[in-house]
Amino acid sequence: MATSLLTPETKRVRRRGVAQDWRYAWIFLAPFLLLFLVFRIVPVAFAIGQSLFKQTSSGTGFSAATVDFAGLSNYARALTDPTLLTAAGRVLLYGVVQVPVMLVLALAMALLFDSGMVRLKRALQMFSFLPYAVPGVIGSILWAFLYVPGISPIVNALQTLHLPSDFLSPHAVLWSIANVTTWQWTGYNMIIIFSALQALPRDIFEAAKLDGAGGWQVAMRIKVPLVFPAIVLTALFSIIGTFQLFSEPMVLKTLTGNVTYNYTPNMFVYNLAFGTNDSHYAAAVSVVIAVATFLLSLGLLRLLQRGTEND
Amino acid sequence: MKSRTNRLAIAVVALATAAALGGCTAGAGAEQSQGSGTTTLKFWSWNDMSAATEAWNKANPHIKVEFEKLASEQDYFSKVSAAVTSGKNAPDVVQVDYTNLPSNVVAGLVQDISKYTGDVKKSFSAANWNQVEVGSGVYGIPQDTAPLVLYYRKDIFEQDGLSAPKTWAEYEKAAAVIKANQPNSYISSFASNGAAWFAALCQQSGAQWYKVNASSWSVNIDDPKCKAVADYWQGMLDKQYVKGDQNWQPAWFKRFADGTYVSWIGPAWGTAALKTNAPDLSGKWAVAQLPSWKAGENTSAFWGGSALAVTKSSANAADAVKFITWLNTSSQAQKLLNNELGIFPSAKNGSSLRAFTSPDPYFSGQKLGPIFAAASSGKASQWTWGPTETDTEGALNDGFASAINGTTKLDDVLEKAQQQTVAAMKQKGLKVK
Amino acid sequence: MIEAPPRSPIRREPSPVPAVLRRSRNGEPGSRSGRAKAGATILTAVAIALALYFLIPILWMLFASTKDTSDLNTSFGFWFAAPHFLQNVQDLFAYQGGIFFRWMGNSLIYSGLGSLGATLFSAAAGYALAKYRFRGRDAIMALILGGVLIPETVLALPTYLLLNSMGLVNTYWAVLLPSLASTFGVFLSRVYVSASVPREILEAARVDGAGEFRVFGTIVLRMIVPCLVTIFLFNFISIWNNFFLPLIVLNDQSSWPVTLGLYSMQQSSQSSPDLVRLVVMGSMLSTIPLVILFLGLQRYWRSGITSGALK
Repeated sequence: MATSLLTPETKRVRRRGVAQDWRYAWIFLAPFLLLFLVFRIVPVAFAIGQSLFKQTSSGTGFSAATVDFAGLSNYARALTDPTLLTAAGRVLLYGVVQVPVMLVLALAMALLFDSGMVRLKRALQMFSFLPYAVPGVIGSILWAFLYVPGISPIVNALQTLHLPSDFLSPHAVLWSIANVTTWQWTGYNMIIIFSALQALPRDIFEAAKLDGAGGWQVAMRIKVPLVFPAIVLTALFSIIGTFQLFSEPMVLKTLTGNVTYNYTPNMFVYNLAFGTNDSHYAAAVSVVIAVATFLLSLGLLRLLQRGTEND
Repeated sequence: MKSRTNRLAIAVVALATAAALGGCTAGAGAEQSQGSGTTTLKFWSWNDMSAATEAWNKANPHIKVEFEKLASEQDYFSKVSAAVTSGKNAPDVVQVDYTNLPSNVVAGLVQDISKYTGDVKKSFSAANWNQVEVGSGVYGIPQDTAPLVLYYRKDIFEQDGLSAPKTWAEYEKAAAVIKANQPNSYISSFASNGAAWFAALCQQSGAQWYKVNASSWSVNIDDPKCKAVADYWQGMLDKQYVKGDQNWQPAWFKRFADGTYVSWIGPAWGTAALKTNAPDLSGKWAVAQLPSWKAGENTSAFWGGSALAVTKSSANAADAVKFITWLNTSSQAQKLLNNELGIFPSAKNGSSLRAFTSPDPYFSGQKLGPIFAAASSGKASQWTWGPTETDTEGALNDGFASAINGTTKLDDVLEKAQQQTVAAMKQKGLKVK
Repeated sequence: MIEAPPRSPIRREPSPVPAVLRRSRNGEPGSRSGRAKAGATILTAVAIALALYFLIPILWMLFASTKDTSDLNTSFGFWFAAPHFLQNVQDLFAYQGGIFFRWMGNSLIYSGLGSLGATLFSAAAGYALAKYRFRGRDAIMALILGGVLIPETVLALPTYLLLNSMGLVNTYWAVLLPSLASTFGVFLSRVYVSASVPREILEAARVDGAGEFRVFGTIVLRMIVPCLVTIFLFNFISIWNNFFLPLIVLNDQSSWPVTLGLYSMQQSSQSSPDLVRLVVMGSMLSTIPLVILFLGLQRYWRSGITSGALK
């Protein structure tokens, strides 16, 4: 490619550059890594350490409890815990539907905006971003006014039309939560993919259009593969978010008892840590969640990479 | 590379182990007094008590209280736990819900102050003082209490020819009449998040969910008296006299305003909820005593409330108790707290606050003080909360939601909660009879 | 400043326009443009439908901020009731001696400083991971990913203990320091730097004698401006709306960010129901700085910025 540049002098410079490379890499990494190690890894290590112990009271429990090494017994308990298994199954079902729907929507919107075919692009981008900007604290009130019969104009309208309108029934509430999440995060994911698209050079698309490719084909065959890493990133973090699903169900829990006490695995962890004060078991459960998330993400990444290879 | 990873792993586990073990030596060497006769106390609560604290500090320069308001109750426990067990920056005085007091005792966070509270006991009714007794010790001083009363739409009741029901049987009959005359109304809601409320009603029936024995606990959530309460409300649900609803959410408030609910078995501090959310119904509501099981009986039921406790790591227990006593029993403090937070003080003199002795226009000119006082001095079983209460309440609430959906009966909900609670307590290593 | 090598065109991953896209130029021009117009109309209609979906809860919030508590529950959600807007504003500002302003100021500090730092550190770390080869790079990537897999709910207590031992609890640092490490920012900048910064440019700069920091500061950062803007915006918002970390590490309310303050008001609203309208008003006001920020930054998502840096 650039063979003409490799004069002997250049080669010497480059070799020096390669040798010093790694030191600079660490310097650039250092500020983030240091903060990350202290404020993420140390608490994580502590939590993992906690998961190997067990606190046992005796009798009435009014005398001091003992903390003993428990090995992996907390993990054995977690992997056979019906509460955790039910909750995990639930978020798995949720994730299989919600993540693809949201990402397809985000991708479609990003492509739309990038193609310049949509007017009022700025306004529409702004509207899709607004949900992300709304503080979660107001979420329950907002969605009460859209989900709860007697208050929601939408529910009332559906009821007069004799259409199904119980958004909070035991079967529907999971998807009502999915709706809240999708509403909140689509704009966010859209912007990530959009800014990746905007950074692509326009000449490739021009070339393709000159060769007779239609908009759809330019989008699917050129743009999407080029921003694939950004899409994978959003997919990865969406999966992590799914397994850590917490705030949206907590918000809807104030509206209906059909969101149960340990509805999602992360709620289970929260209740263990803050309610029952079983922080050791809570730590073990959260490690199990982390590992499950990791394995699933790995699986997804492999799948996606194989998918693009076949293209 | 492999050996480096191994060493790292060992270091991490060692660090975590040290932290875990170190954190469990019950707090030694905590806050010491500042010398020269001035003690500084740290006071944490999720309610805003700054006005009252300032008043104390002005009058008591030798015991300085620093107040910190925590954002919510949820984080309160773990923060207190972290602070007290590590001994660093730990508070001396903390607010504790009655329901969580036993858990706090089991977790070793609060200390027995019975040797300082001899006289203070007289300022409270037996039922109220009982809330802070756990086992054989006294672990706090009651601050506020929430006796259940019957709020009802006087206008609709009179229209239907009803007077305030005095027994549960009368309540059910009234429900039938109301349903007949107002098909879209219910006498009240049945809460899918009503575990604490339900517990209060069980207390009224004489049931006892938990008992602390010499070296074990007894758990009887499915006490027959409690099952009788469950059967009663199951009947009310089946006959559609009550509507299953999630309480404390916008639609529930609305249903008071639009007449869907014509009564509420609610706590003494619930007046604000009605006044703010149904202001147009001012003058149409009234307050009566909670219906009892037997005619002529005076029984009480308590829904929540909190006490102030002294943490185990505090070295200033005597001074702390002085402060707490003033805060919970002096009229000056009570007035400030009631102004800020609308709470109904547990102390006997609480009901003589101006707020409760002047006629309340919202409630047809009634004076609420005597009503609340009577409501909190009736007979109630000696009630102890369990050491895994949040878990039990979670199980009950889930069960109530299922019962409202028709997939289970309240009886079975109690049994399931009983099993779950016993299992959870045994899991912690407690002895359950 | 730094001249690009004269010949090599800018290429990302080698992806020539697929042969399948080369069609004969003998299309049907008339129906083509007709189809295009119909397509554009449909797309715009779809875009408007989406915009409504995102906007509906926001609209509710706007109307709700003008009402008092009882009207919130009883009046029609998408229209006004008795006007109460000014009263709500007044009461919110008067609440606890004007602490709302303090909270907003705190949020600006946490979000502004936090995301500035986070953006810089993430860009540096992402650059290091993308453009340098060094031993341990994959291990670092796995470590960073692993750090976010464990749910925050169980890290709350260890984080508190850590900060408590450092004496930082209840200080501004308690919120700022952990916010400076943005895992998502690192991954995003790594994706962008890999895709948008060609090795040749960096090499050319080094050959011309530029030091590593200069390369990073003047070339790389300029080439990934849309990415930096995205990271800054998202960090700003996530710090602004994050109340779980401040909930754990802050005690006294004078150092709270606005979302924690609103959350605490919401919690108190059970015994003081009149606070609900203040929570709604506060949430609406809290969204405004974020909207302004978004509007201000939108212009940086413009295609062609990368080609500008090469001149």
